[in-house]
Amino acid sequence: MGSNLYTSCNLCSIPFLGNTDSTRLQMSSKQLNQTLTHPNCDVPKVIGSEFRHLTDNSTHFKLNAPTDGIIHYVNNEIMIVIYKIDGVDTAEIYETPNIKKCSGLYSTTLRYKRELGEFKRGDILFEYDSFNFGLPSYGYNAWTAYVPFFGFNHEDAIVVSESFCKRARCTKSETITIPIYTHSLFKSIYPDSAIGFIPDVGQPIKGNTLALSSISEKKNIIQILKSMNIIDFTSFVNNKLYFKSQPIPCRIKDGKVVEIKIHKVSNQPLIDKDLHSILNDEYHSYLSKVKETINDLQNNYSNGKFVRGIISSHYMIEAKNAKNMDFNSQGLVYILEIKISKESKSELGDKFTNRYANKGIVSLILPDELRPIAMKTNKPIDVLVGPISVIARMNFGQIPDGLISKLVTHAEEEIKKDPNSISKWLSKLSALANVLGDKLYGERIAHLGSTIDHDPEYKKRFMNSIYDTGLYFEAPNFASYDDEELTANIDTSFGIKANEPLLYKKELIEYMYDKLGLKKEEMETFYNSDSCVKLPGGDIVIDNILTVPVYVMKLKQEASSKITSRDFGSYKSGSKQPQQGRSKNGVIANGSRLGQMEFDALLAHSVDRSIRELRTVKNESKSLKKDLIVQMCNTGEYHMPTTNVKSSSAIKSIIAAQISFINT
Amino acid sequence: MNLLTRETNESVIRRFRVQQYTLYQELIKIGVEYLMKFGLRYDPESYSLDHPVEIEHDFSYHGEEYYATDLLKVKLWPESVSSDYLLYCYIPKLIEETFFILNGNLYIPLFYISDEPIVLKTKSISIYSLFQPISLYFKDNRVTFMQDNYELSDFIQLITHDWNNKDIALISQHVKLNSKNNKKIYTLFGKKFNCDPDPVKIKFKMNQLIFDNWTYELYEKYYGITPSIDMIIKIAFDRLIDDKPNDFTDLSYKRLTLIEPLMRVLFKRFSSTAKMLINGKSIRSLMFPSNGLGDSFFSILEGQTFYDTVNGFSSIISHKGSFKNPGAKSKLPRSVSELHPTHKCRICTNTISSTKPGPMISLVPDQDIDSRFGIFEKNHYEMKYFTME
Repeated sequence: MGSNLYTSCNLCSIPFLGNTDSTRLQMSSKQLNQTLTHPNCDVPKVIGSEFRHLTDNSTHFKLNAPTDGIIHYVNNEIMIVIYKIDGVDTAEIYETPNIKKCSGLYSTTLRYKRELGEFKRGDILFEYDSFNFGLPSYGYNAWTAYVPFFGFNHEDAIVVSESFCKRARCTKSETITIPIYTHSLFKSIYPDSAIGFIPDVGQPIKGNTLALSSISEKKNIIQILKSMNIIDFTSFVNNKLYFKSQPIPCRIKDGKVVEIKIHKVSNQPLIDKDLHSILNDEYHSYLSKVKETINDLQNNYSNGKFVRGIISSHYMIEAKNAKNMDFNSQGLVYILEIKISKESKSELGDKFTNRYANKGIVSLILPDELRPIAMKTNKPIDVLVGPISVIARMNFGQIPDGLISKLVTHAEEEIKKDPNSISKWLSKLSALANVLGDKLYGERIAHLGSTIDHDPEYKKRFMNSIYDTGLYFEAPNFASYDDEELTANIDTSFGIKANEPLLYKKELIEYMYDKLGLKKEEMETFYNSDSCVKLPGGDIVIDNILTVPVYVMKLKQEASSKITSRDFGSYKSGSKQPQQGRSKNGVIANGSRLGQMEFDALLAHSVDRSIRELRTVKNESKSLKKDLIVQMCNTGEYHMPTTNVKSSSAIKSIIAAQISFINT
Repeated sequence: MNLLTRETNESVIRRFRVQQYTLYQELIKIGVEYLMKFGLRYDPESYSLDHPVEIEHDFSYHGEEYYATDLLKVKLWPESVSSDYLLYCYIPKLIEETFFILNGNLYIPLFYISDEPIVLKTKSISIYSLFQPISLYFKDNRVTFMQDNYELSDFIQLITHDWNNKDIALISQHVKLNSKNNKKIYTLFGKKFNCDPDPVKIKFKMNQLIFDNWTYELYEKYYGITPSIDMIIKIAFDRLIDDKPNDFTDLSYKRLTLIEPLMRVLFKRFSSTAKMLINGKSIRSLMFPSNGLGDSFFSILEGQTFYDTVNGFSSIISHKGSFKNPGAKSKLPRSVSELHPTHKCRICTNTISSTKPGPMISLVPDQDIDSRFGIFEKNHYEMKYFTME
C-alpha cells in the first residue's frame, strides 16, 4: 500500500486497467496466482509501468542480492552465499535444485543460477521460470485473431494451434518415499534398470505404477518369515505362501525418475538376498556422492558443525528423524526417496486466459499447416478468440495492449534486422509514450536512444538484452490517452494497422467441414457469404480482422486432472451410490454419482452407450459387474445382460427395466 | 524499455515479518518482569534475567499432520516440573521467513493494521496497553479498566486530583465533574489494588499496571512524550477538543502489527495473573495451555491465508495486511485506497480470493515502517490546550 499504488500487486504488470471492467480485473488478479510457468514463457511486450511492485514483492523463486557479497559454493542442490553486512561476513544457504516443487504436483524449473564469484547489491543470484532477467514471465506472446471460427470459439471456448500447445507446457514433480523393511519383497518390473524394481535415473515409469511390492495374504507373514531358514526361502515361497502384488502408486503418469536418494536407518539384513545386495551397492554409490560433496565443503569450510548441518538437512535423513516419520520403525532398514518429474504439453480442454481475464477452454487444436495467416504481417495465427467475448466481458484493455504489442514486435524485428536503426525506433516509441500520457518515460526513451548512438558498448548491451528478453515497452497502468490520436500515431509513424485481412486455406475449410460433419458440396455457401473473398485456388480471404499479439497464460485447471475413472471402490451405505468426489492420489479414484436427473439428461441426449456402461459396468450391482468383467476378460468385449434377470431386489428390477427400455 | 530501470526499495515488509517474529522472547520477558512488579517470586539460580526463556526446537511428524514449533519454557524454581513451569507452551516456527506449518499445511500469518495507541471514536476513547487497556465511554458515563466498570466522572476526578484549574476546566467541557470531593472511588480502587485509598498511591499503581516496558516505549516513540496516565488523558481530551476522530484511511494514524495479535491470548493470561498477584495470591504457573498459541491462530485470528504457490508471483500473498483487527471491533475502512476515476471504489485491493474484499490490502515494499512497533510515520504530539508537565 503505497502512495502511488492504485490496485493490488497482482495487477501491477497489466496496462490499460482503466479500459477494463473492474470485476474482470478482480478475476485477472486471481488468475495470476493460478498461472503455470515454464522456461518457454516470454516476457510481455507491453508491461504495466508499476510491474516492479509485483516482481520485487515476489521473493520465493527469485533472489536479488540484498547487499554485496560472494557466492562461495554452488552445486546442483545448494548455493552458499556470503554477505558482507557492516563488515561482518554472514553465510546463507539457499536451496536451488533444478526442479522445485510448487503447490500440488506443479513445479517450477530453474532458469538462471549465478556462478561462483563476487556480486553487487541488486544482482540476481538465481531465478526460476516465472522470472526472466528479473522481469515477469508467466505467459506466451501469441498471435491472436478476434474472429468467429466455425462455432469453435464462441463465448468461453478458444481455438489454438498445435505449435502453441507444444510451447505452453508445465512441469510436474513428485517425491515418493518407499520404506524398506527386513521383510520387504518387490517384483522386478524394470529389467533395464540396475535396481530392478524401480527405474534408474532418466528412465520412464510404467503408467502410474512406480513399483510392485509383494505381500502375503497370510497375516502373520513376518512371524513365519522370521522363524524359518533363509536358505530355504525361495522353495518355501514357491510351495507354501501365496503372494499378491500391491502397487506403489505415483500421481504423475508416465513420468521420469530424476533423482534417487537412499538412506540407511539400521544395519539389519534383508530377507531377500538379491535386494539386500542391490540396495547395499546403491547405498554405497549414493554415499560416495555425498562424500564428494562433504569433501568439497570441507575444503571450503573448516567449521565441521556447519558442514554437518548442511549434509544432515539436504542430503541425509537422520536416524532420529526417520523414527518420527509415519513408518513402522520396527525392522526399517532403508528409506528410498524417489523424485519423479514430467513435462506435459497442453491438451484439448485446458484453460487459457489473457491478462484481462478473457479466459477460455481449448475446444479445437488446429494443425500448424492449416493455421489462418494474417496477410499483411505474414504471421500464422496461434490463438483464435471470439470477438463477441470482448464486448460481453467489457475488457477492452486488451485492444490497445495488443495494438502496442504489435508495433513493439514490429520494432523488435526491424532492430534485429538492422541494429543501426535503434535510435529511429526508440524515438518513435518515445513519441508513443507521450501519446499515452507518460512524458517522463518518453524523455527517458529518447535519452536512451541518443546514448546508444554515442556509446557502442551500450548498444551492444541493448542488443543482448533484446536477444535475451525481447523488446518491451512500459505503459501506464491507468493511461489517459485519446483513442484516435493513438491509432493515428501508430498508423503514421509505424505504418501499422490493427485490422488485417486473414487468409483461410482451402485445406482448412475442408478440414473444418469434415470436423463439423458437413458435406463438402455445401462449401459453396460458405464462399458466397459477404464477408469473404474467394481466391482462384479455393483459399478465401476475410477482410478487416483484428490480429495482434496477445499475452496468453496457461492456467492450472488442466483437463487431464479433471478426468477420473474407477473400477472398484467404496459406496455409500445408505444409497449404494459411489462416494462422491474427485480422484484421490490419482489412482484410487472416487466415482461420480449418476442420479435420476443425470440419467434423464443423458437419455435426452440419446447417449445409449454411455448409459449402458454407467448402468452396467459402472453400476453398484456387484453381481452384474462381475459377470460383465468376466465377459470382457474372456472375449475382449461385453454384451448387455439379458433383461430376464431375476428381479430379486428393487434396484435390479429397475436396472432391468431401464436396459430393456434402452434396447428398444 | 530494456535497460531502463527504476529504483525501488528492498522489501521492508519481508524483513518486518522476521523482526516482529523474533520479538516473542522479549515480549515474554516483559510479561514476566511485569508480574514481578506485583510480587511474583523466583529463584535466581533457575531463572536468569538475561535469558528468561528456554527454547527447545521441536520437530514433530505424524503422517500428514506436520507441525513445526518451538517449545518455550520459563522456569522459576529449581524443583519445578513441566506442569508447574511459569510458562510451558509451543509457538509456531516461522519457516523461510514467511510461513507457519500447522496441521501439515503452510499458513501465512497475516499482518494486522491496527489503530494508534490512543483511539478517538465518536462516543468513546480507547487507550491501548499490552496488558491493561482502558476504555472511556461518554454516552453511558463509564470507564472499563481491568474488566470492571467505574463511573467516568469519578474516574476523571481521581486522575485530575492534582491538576491545575485550567486543565480541569477544559476537561469538564466533556465530562461532568462532581463539585464535591467524592471519596468512594478511592476506596474502590484501594480495595482493588490492595493499597491505601490515597489518590497518589492509586495513580502510581495504575501507571504500573498500564505501562509495562513495551507499552511505555510505544507511547514514548509514537507521541514523543514521557508516558503516564495523566499525559494520556490530556492527549486524548486535547484531540477531542479539536473533534478529530481517527481517519480510517490515513496511515499516519495506524501501525502494522504481527506478534501482538499472535500472542494476545498469552498477554490476557499475564494480565489476569497480575490481578491475582495484586490480590495477594501466590502464583507458580500461568496455567496457559501448551498449544494455546497454535489454537488461537485458528480460532481468534481471522484471515490466516493458506499458502499456495503455483508460481513465483504467489509469494506476494505473503504481503497482505488486514484492517480487521482480531481484538478491536473497530469500523472497517470506507474506501481502502484512492483509485482511478474510472474505477472509483470498484477494484478491491485484495490479492487473492477473499470473501471480504476491502479489509484486505496488499502492502508494497516502498512503505517505510518502524521495525519494532510497525509505526508507518512518526508522530510527535504537541499539546494545544492542556499544559505539559
